[in-house]
Amino acid sequence: MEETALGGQERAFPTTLWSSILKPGKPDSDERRRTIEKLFSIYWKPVYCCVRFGWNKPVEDAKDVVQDFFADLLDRDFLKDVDPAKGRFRSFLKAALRNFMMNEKRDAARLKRGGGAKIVPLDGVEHFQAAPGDPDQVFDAEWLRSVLARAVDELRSDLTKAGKEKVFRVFELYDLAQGAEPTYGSVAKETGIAESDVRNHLHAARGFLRRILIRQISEYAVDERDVEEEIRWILG
Amino acid sequence: MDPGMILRLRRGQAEERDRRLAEILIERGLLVPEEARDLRHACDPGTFGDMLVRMRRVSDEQLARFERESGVREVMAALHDRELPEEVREALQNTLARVGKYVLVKVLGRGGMGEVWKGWDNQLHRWVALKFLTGDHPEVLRRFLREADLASQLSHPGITRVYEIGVHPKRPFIALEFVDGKSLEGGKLDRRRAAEIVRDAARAVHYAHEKGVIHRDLKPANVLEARDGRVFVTDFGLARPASGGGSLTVSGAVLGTPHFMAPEQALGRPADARTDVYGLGATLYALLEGRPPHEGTDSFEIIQRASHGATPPQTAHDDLSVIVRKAMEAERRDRYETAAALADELERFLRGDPILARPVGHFTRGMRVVRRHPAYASTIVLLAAAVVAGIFLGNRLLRERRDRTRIEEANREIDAARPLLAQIDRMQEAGRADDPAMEQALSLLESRAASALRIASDYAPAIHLQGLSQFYRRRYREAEATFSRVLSRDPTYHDARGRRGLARFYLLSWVPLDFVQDEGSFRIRFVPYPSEDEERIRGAEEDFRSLPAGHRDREYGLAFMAFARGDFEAARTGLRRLLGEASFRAEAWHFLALAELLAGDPDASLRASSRAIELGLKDAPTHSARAFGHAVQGRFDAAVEDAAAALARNPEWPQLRRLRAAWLIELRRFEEALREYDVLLARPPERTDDLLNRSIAYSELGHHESAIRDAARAVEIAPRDPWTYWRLGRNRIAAAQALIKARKTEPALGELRGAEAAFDGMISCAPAEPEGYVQRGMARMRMSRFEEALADFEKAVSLRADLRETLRGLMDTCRKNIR
Repeated sequence: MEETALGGQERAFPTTLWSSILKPGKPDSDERRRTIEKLFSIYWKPVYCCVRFGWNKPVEDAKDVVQDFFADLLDRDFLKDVDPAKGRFRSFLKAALRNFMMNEKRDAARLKRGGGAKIVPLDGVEHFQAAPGDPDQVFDAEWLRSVLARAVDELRSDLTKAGKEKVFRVFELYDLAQGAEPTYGSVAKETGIAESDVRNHLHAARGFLRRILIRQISEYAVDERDVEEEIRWILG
Repeated sequence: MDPGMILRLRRGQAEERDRRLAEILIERGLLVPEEARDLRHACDPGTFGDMLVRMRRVSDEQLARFERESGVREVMAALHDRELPEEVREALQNTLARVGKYVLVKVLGRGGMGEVWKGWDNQLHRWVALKFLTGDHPEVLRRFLREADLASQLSHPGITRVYEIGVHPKRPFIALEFVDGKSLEGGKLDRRRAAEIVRDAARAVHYAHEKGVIHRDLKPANVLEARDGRVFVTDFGLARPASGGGSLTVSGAVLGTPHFMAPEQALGRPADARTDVYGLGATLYALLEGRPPHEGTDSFEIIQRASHGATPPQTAHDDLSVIVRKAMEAERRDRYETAAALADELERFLRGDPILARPVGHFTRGMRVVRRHPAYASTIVLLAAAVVAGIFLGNRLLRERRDRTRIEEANREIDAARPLLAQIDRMQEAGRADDPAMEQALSLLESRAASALRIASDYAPAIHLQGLSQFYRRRYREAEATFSRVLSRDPTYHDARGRRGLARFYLLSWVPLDFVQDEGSFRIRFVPYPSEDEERIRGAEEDFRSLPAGHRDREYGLAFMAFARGDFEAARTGLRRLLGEASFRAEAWHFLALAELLAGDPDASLRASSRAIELGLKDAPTHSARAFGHAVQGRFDAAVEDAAAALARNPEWPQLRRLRAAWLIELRRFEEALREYDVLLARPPERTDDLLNRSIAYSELGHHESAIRDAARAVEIAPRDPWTYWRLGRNRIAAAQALIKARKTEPALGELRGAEAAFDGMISCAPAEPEGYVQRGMARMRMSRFEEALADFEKAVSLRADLRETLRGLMDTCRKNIR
């Protein structure tokens, strides 16, 4: 009975990309570097869009700036400046980018930094689109969009792998609808299943999506609370 | 992903969030599913929680807590998803397959009482066996919970552990240790393995016996063999404490599985440790023979066979068969004395050592029969005996069947009352105590209880229902008696015991507080309960203490006991915690209010007593508690309102009326104060403080005659109390002043003389008290008798030097006038 009496022992937060790079020791290991690169590659696009549309840089310039920004972070051992208790990774990145953009050292950094690490393939960057605006807002909007898009992609591939294309189809028709507001009835008609199944599929898909989101967020979050806050921000 | 899409996606997630919140509230019993669905559909996605707060179904804090809980639950679940066993991940896709932190994976079996599921504990990440109760007969529910309660006291590697007793309102369950293996039901094993298994089971059963628990239903189905060979005894569903513990079942004999039943059980006699020895022997028999020891075409026949006690034939004849026969002897004294003795004997067999039991020859068997039936010492008569026993048993079964029908009918009434109880709780929680629907529900409850009692007047659950209906009506005295009747029939009826304890405590209806005013500040003092209440408190305490740990009423009870002992800190900590979970216990809010007040937090006290009143506890003690809460903070206007409400409900509370009157005087609402004193003084004994206070009110209102009359009466009653004279004198001076204002000099002079006389009286009672001289001096001054006045003032100064400054002006005036 003891465990239940104590309300259940809390399990440790699983190791995330974030927490693994925060671990002390071996600061320059290849593994750590790879982890950071992965972390950055995920959030490359919001940073790019922010620079391109928020700071209004031309395409080529923006690509360089983003590359420099990440390289600078890596070289500076930026994690020393980060207090994980103080906030979300997103806020940190946003603030770091703002500093970087305002920092005159940027130009000098462009020449010597980079360390040869190419953070992300830059193909297709020219087609990235976002509305110009306040850099922070652009960043957040782009962040939101990329997180959701990534989660929906994963949902699609998960459900397809599991042979549940129909579940995804229902979700797509209902929760990702464009234009006219769908009803259970209209989705049922289009997919040829019962309305009650529409409801169940929808419920299941939403649950999956949420789980995927939580997992993805946990890759850059610091702890459960951080995940919770971030998910609340993302889901409105 | 365009903004419109994101909006829709978020909307969909908001719907799910509402649904999860609803699930938690349903789990807590704060909402019923149909209602949750209706409410959810009535609001925009994402606003369900806010609506509940607006409807006052949950508080802001509760909502925040539930949302946090559901969030954490989701996050934890999602993060550990990948480590989950495949079966669990599949089951997770079905949200209905969740009960609290458990994920239901598959049905392991269905039994008489309910279903057993293989489940996954999502917090502790382990497999569990979840036993659900199906149907909701209170009798069955209680047996079910008792199993959990008894078994949870047992901790032995050979007994499946109880992890949690889920007191879920709709789906009570027990979470048990999951054994990865199978039960031995229907199996036939080689002799060695069978002996090993029963040896291990016997050790576990012996441990339970040492803890005072008899299993009473040992059979292969209740013995599990894990893949790794470990043996577990499970299902203490019929278990009963070895000592005490009244009958839970009206028809004891029909419980248990007749195929493995000991003769004494078949005959409805009490079971003891040796009954389990029989069960172990019967289990061993079944494992060896591949069939149960007693067989027949129907249970009547099986029970008949079991009651005969004839040891069934065995195929093999070796030491093991001797052990089986000895364990299954019809007479208990012929069996192994303990389960441990049986285990030791099996151990000897397994080691190849000689066993202690001797094969029983035909002669011994015959002798035993004679011993059992001394009146019929021949085989022919023995046959007749079997027939007689059969008839006897037949009658017994008939009677039991009749009883059972009756009980079933009563249970139907009780079941019908169940939704009413839930409804009443809900309405109370929603603060709808005054709703006509509440009255209706209470009346219905009463009539259900009455008809259940008509059907089965001595059936404990029926009596309990009646007790509940009285309890809900706050007729605690009746409820106490009724619950006592339940307990006299079944001392293990925990709910009745808990309610009786509460009823007893709630009967301490007066507020053990005293309001003390000293030096213009107000204090609350605890007045320990008087000795006539002690017995009631002791009774309540006994009730609470004999409840099993974790019983909700026990927790409340212990907090109340802390209060009664004067440990307000402990009381309020306990009550705050409990009331955070289930907020509708108005009485508990009331006692929390008192504890807060005594612990020095009047604001918290006010909140608690307001909550109690909101929940429909509008009796005198609750209102008075709130009045105290206001008064101690100097908010007399609010205090007098609550005191009035309390007095309207209990006019026979002079002490509170007295306080109210005093508060009214503080507020200078003299007319009202006057009315209170009129009530107080209308019945003997006349108290001088009431008279004096009324005289103040009269005097302030300009009714000098009445003021003087009251003070004079006080002097008459307490001629040795200087302060009665003082008040009389003051009143006369006030009267004189009024007369002077009206230019009635002569009568004024008369009053002043009267005042002088009154202060003479005061001085004679308290010659060392300067106040008498001061007042007399002032009266004399007004009569222009300055020399005498000066003498009085000087006398006062001689008694208390620091008065010199105060009196300087008066004395100067006197001196000036003397010159």
